[in-house]
Amino acid sequence: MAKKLTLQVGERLREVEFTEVEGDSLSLRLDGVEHAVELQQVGEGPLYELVLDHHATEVLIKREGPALRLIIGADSWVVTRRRPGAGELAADALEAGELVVRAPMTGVVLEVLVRPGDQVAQRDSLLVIQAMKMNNEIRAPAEGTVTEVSVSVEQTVNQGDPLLTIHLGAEETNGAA
Amino acid sequence: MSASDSKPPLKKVLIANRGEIALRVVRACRDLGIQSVAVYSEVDRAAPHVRYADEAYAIGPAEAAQSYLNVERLLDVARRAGAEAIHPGYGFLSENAAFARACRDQGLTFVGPSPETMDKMGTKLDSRRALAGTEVPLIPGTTEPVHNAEEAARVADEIGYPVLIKASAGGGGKGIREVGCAEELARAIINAQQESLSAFGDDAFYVEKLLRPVRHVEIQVIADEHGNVATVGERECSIQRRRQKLIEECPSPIVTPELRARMRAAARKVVEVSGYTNAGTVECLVYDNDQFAFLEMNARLQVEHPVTELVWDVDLAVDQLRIAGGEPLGYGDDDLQMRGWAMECRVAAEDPYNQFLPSTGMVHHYREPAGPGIRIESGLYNGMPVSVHYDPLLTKIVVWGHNREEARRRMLRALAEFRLVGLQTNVPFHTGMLQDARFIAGDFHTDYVEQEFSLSPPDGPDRADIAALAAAAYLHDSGTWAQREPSRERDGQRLSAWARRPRGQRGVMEQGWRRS
Repeated sequence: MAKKLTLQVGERLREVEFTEVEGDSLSLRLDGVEHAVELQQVGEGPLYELVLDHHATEVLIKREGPALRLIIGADSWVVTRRRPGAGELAADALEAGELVVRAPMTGVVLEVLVRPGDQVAQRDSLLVIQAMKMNNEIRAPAEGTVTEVSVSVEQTVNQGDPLLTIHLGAEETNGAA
Repeated sequence: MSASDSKPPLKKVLIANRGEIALRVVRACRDLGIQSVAVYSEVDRAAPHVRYADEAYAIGPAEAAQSYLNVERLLDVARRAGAEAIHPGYGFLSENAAFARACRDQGLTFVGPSPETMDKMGTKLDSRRALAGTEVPLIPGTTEPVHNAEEAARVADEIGYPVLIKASAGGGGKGIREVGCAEELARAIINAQQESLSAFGDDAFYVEKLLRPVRHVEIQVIADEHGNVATVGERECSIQRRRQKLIEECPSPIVTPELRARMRAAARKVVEVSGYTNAGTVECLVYDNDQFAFLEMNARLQVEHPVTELVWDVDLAVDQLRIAGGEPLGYGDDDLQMRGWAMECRVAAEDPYNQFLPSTGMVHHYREPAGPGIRIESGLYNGMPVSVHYDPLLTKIVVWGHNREEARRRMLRALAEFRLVGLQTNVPFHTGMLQDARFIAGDFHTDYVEQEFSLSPPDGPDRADIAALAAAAYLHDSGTWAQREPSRERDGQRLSAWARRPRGQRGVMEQGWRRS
């Protein structure tokens, strides 16, 4: 089975491997370490009890658009699910409606398909990154306006580098800047 | 204790405070059939002290100087609401003689001592001067301000080093210098004077013997306006950090009946000398096992008053209001008996793993401990913003047990049940201290937390790893756990009832679990 999930947790990309699934009890491998994990919702709210390696911790999990927000103790993370091969990328920062699209892999920018001010719909192509001799289309994770393009053609980007910024939401009809 | 039979003289009281202590006074008012008037800054509109009071008034922005310290606004609200008295709580205006005077000038009863008494006992030096020549033992040193290094050197030689140079006008640890030997004296005086001059505009200081190690033990007193005084036992407050108390208990593990009797007699003397009325605390240092010396008078209800209430079966907040309304206290020392042991942990928004730095943010999820022997005093609510504007104290967990060990175990239970998501709290400190061998033995002093105790670092994966694993579990099968059927069979057990099953039996990979 060994299903794998690539998650962007805050600024970091994390790969979690499902090594064993038995009902609600999961064996998850993170950074080469196996963990016993069970997640139980408490009531109907956003509160969950995570039993991790036989230690229970309370976690708040809320959906925020395409992302999840997790709060543990005083710390808060935005988590997005990513499929690196498909070139699909979701949000890592939703503060003030700004979404930074980051490079899912290290490679070279082959094409930039949008400019600042362009309206994009969800799944519109934004740019193409060549990596491992494959052209990867980077698509818009949500509808909005491109406010900044941080890379140019032939530029080498590392995994996690910001590519461009999208101001989320549909175009405003009154034409205000 | 005849409060319940007679009509309470006060009908409406304004509470010039916020958080758990304001709620405490709201409750006392309700117990007495007194109408309570809450005030709130703009960030506190949804706070329990506002929602549970009979009336509430906005008094300004979050900054305390413009709201909870705004005397004009408070007096104006009291007039508009028709309150006859103002309860100041602790902190803010509680020990401000000018405020007590302003209340009196407006025909309002200030729930506390008179402004004259507050002046007399206001600073440590004032109270030393007032008590000089009485049988109340003072820390060796001067009772009048010292103005030059020669005079200070003479005093220090007489009482012996180490000594403390303390600014007369000092407070909050400012203008205090430790001096180990004569050579260090001149420099320490210059430093203390400079600090005091810039902070308080006054460079007078006094010299006091530095006693070490010491325990901080205080006596609760309460006195009415008819000359009745009760001394309600001691509180042990030596578990502190930077002069901020963290854990208090009643009684003190080191106070014998004989020492308690001597300390109560001294506290009674302090009340008599200062003409003290209402609830107050006589703070003392205990050293060399059974010696004590007066430290200062706290002219207010203390944060830690509930431990005294639980052991001595009194209601100090209710008594404050009764006395302020002119009622006689109704009990004396001979009517009071101690029963069992009480402890209080001050849960604050501070990171015990990072030098107790304050943590700000939002209370996303809060659930209080409960069960036998637990009393919670808290102003927290779900969705509450915790800002830098106010004290980091969030919740007081107070427990009672038949003896110290039962109280300690109940406190550990309460700490284990305490749930707060969204802020870092000092709960891990409390849990560590409650299991510390020296704490269990009652063998500690005021420097123990800073100089000897060390908190074990947290074990287990770091929180970023926990977040990744929790998110993966949440996304497992691309469904949320909310959509699952909560009641299911496994190993012949109904797992839906896990919360009711005994701790430790919940199966994760059939290996049980424990709380980190």
